[in-house]
Amino acid sequence: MADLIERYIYHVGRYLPKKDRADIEQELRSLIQDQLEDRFDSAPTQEQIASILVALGAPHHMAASYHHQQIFVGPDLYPQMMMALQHVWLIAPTVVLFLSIFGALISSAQGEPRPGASIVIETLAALWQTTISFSAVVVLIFAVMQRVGTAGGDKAAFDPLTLAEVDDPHTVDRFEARVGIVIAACVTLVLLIFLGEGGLTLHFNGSDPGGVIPVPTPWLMLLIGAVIAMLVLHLGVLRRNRWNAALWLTETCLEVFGMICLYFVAYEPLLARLLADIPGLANVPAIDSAPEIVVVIGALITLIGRGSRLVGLWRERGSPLDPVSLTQN
Amino acid sequence: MSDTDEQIGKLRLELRRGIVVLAVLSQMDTARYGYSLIQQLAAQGLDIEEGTLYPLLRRLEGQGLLESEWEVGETRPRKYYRISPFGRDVLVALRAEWLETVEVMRAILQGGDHG
Repeated sequence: MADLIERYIYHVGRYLPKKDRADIEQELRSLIQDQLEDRFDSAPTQEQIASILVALGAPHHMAASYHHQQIFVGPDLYPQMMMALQHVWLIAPTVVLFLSIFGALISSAQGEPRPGASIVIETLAALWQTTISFSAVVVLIFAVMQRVGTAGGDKAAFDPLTLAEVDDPHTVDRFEARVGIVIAACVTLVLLIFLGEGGLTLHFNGSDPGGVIPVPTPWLMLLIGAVIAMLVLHLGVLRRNRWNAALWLTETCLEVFGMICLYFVAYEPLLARLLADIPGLANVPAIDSAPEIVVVIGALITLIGRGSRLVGLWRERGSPLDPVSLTQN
Repeated sequence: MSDTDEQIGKLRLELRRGIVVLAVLSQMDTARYGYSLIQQLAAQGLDIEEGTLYPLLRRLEGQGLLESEWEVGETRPRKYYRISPFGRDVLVALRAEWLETVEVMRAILQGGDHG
């Protein structure tokens, strides 16, 4: 009995704000038990539990009801929009910060160093502008989807019995997979521009600083290959709607390999440029080893973070395929 | 379901949306947990979906109209809600507004019947 309730609460919780999640989950668990006790015998069937959950609504719909403000989009799309915005708020400032540092280094490489204060002010302005702009674009896209009726799934279409298991290692987070595909496509495009220019450049951003930091072409090509392979892998997983040990291991290897490629394509050339521009940095302890440290730490985090799921998938290899994996994502 | 029934259903929902808050606040002098409130309201003829009421309670709490407390001494932990002093002030104003609206609407609808 508890399993189906816990599965429902788990899927509601995925869409809840973190600060309220535990409290809402606890309250929901208690309220569902109250309803079950009131309406059914001491040992309700799965179907009876499901009827209670259907009345509550699909997990993302239920979770959306707990969001205080729902601007432009309705409950069917609101949680997804918030997840997309969270990605934007993480990725956009990171990319802007990287491009600002990168731009400063390239300007310096061209013998036209910019004042530090100017770089800081421009970076802060760009951070604000880019984050707001991309957030507006995301909201607009979801508002259009809402308008044209892309949001699907009413209560009648929700079947609690098809909810994926809690922490099922085979589960495909379809939203994450789609975001991963979009990011991989953008990265591939940028890397192809780097390949055409022969190194790291900002030619594509419109301001055309004209400088290029050379990088080893074979490693750049290998990195492009790894990113494209990940893109294809995610497409395959989306279509299959299920992870297995081989796919998970392949993705893990590709991620680690990508980090090694990044060492040659980005970390090492950028550090060399940084040291050339700011010789005083050479006195920082272990600065020469910084690229290696970044790669090793990144690889360890990846392996540890993905290891437990790989073990779970490996243990369950050969188990009968469950066609009812995550259609609720 | 016919188009008429569907349309009436939508309009009924819209009509009730505003009064649910008033109905909930009016029952919260006694501390209640979500399901007991649903039963209480249903017994008086107002059915509210669980998926509507549970988030509403938290929203009213967020607005300062309700206060809540976890009660752990029962068979399972339950979150009890009770109206706050601010909520009581709001309820008094809303109740007066509602009663006045009812009178106005009665006059309008009776006038419509005769017209």
